[in-house]
This record gives sequence, structure tokens and C-alpha cells, in this order.
Amino acid sequence: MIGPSFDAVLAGAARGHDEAFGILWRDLQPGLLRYLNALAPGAGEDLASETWLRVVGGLRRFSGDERSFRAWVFTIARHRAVDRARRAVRRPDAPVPLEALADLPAPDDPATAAVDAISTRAAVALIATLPPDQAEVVLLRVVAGLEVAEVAAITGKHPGNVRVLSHRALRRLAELLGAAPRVRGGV
Amino acid sequence: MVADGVFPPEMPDTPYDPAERLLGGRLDPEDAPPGYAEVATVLRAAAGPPCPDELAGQPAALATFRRVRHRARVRARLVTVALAGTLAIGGLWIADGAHSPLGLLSPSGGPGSGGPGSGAPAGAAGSGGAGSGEAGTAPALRAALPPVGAAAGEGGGGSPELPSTRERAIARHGGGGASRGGGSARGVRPATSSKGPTAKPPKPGKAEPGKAKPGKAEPGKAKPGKAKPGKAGEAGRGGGGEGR
Repeated sequence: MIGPSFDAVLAGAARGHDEAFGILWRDLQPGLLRYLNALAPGAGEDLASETWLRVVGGLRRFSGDERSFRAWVFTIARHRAVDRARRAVRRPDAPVPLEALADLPAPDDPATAAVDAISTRAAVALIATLPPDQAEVVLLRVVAGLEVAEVAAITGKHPGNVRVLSHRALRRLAELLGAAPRVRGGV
Repeated sequence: MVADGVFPPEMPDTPYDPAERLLGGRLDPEDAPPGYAEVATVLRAAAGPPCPDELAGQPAALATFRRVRHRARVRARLVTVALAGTLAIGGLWIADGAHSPLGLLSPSGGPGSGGPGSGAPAGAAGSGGAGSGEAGTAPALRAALPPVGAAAGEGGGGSPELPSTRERAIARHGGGGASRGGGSARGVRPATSSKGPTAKPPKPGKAEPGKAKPGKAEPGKAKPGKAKPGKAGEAGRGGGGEGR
């Protein structure tokens, strides 16, 4: 989050200042990539570029605080991803990456239990294995830092549905993480 | 396995809600409910600081930003130039219409003509021209323009009444304003005459434009003989009363 200087940064970006736009970009691009890579595996970069093109085109017309701006950017990103999915002849499968999460620590291994040991990419990949609506809700909450109402507005769902989906996603994640070491340990 | 009842379906949406704290990254793995420490770890990692490869596209993004902004600026400049050009051309066209150097608005072909039917010499071109222009293709524009010419003194004095009287005349005579106006000797009569256009009730059948005879409306068919050269100086007044 940019914080109190957000208004000045946004105004500068709308006037065409590179530095101001760079601040916005650095703040939002990582979350945007993680979200889009989960929604459309392998197309995150392209979709993020399309999203930023739209954002730049609409910067002058946008008015609102930082939360609204984040919600707006992720709304554009979601529309780009949905459009791409519609255009695609068939959606590429996202293989379950549990075996690929070599750097995911086992919960019973204190040496590898440090947060730093889990790469961001692996964590996002794990979230992406959830059912799509659950994964999207979790990513918008966690990666984009949006509240329930904002996620509901972006996804077109009722806030209650968003809460239910996020709770189910957390349960599912806990099951996945609890089951993984048992499989590896042969129990 | 995950303990049941950790996340009841109806949880209050408060910062103390474990699920909300988990999703908001505010819950330490040590403080997480049983079975959720790993989830907290994963969620924290997912919201972690940006990797270098995630920010590798910044130069390209800035270049795109500059290009889009530049294009927008050029487009805005083009729109401004086009707008200014349109306004300038429109202004010139209106000015042309006022002076009628091209005769665009004057069906009699003359600049504010003392042309056929106007009966006014060139010196009285202001009112006579306006009179002949009445039957033209742009009466509203004509009505909006002030009379220009040597006789604009008196004719101009009547100009504030021109639009309404002209429109009335056009409606009454079915576009025959040119011949009427062309016979501007009729304008010798004072506009305040009791026989003026407002005093005369229009004859049914003649008052409606649709029933007017088109032949009479043509300026070329007006009788030039009706014009009295000696009264040329009064043609300006004719301009004032040309709405008839």
C-alpha cells in the first residue's frame, strides 16, 4: 500500500509523471501478476500489460482513494482474464503442483518451518489449486489486499458468498497442507 | 485433519475473526487455530514482498506509459486544432454570409444585391440584399445577421424587429418575401402604419406557406419596374419594413 501520499502519486501519474506511475506500478504489479497467473496460468504477464494499458488510459478519469484504485485495477485485470478465457479455444489445464512444491516445508520439520522457506510462487501455485472461485476470492483478499465488500463487487457475488468461499478455501488449504506430509511420509 | 468448528459459517466480520485475520495476513502461524498454522504461513508467503522477476517489466511498463501519454497528448492537440479550425471556418463562413462576397446566402446571386427584384440601388445594398436573401436557403441565418450596407442607418434601426417580422412575412407570403422585399418601394410606407403587416389579418389560403405560389416567390420574377430609383435613399427604411 502506498499510504497517505497516494493522492499525490495518483495525481502525478494522471499528469503523466513517470516516477508517480512507477510507484503505482511497483505497488500493484506483483499482486496483479500473482492474481492473473492463478486465473490464467502462463498468461499473467500479457494480461497484466493489457490491464496497465487500460489503467493508463483511464487514469485521468479515475477518482477515489487507494482502496478504490486497487479495486478498480483488479476489476480491469479480472475483465481481461475473463475476456481471454472466452477467446481461448480451450482453457489450459493447471496441473496440481503439490509435487512441485519442493520448497514447501513439512509442518513437522521446524528447520524448514520458517516463512521465508516458502516461495511466493509456490504459495500462489498452491492457492491456485483450489476451485477457481475459492482461489480467486483468496487471492483478491490476500494478494490484492481487498476487503470482503470489494471482492464481492469485483466478482459479482454477495458478500456472504465471498465469506463462505473464503472459509471453504481456508479449510481446503488446511486439508491440502495436512495431507501432503502424510503422503510423503507414507502414513 | 482440520478441527471442525474453527470457522463457523456465521462468523462476525471483525478483525478478531480468525479467518479474517488469516486472510488479512494479521495472524501469526503460532497464533493460528490448530491445523491452520501452515495455512497462515502459505498466505503470508503469497502476500510477500515482490520478487525481482515480478518487477522486471518496469522499464517496459514505463515506456508503454510514456507512449500512451504521448499519444493522448498528440490526440488532444489534434482535437484542439481541428476544433479551432472548425470554429475559424465557421466564423469565416458566417462573415462571408454577412457580406455575401460569394453570394452563398443570396439566391439572387448578388452580394446584398440590388439585383433583380430588389429595386434598390447598390448604395442601399444592405436592406435590399437582406430583402432578397429572405427567400434564400438560410432564412434563420439571414434573420440572425445584422443588415450591412450604406443604408444600414435606418435599416439597422429596424433590425431588432427583423427576425420576427421576417419570419412572419415568410409565413404569410409562403417564401415570397423576395419579391415583396424586392419591391422595396413598399417599404416607403412607415412600418408603424395601421396597414402594416401586424394590422392586416392574413387572408386564409395565402397566409400559409404551403399554399403560396412558388412562382411568386422567385426573385427573378419580381417586377423591377416597381422600384422607384428616386426613392433609393429610403430603401433603408424599406429594409426595416421588409419583413412584409
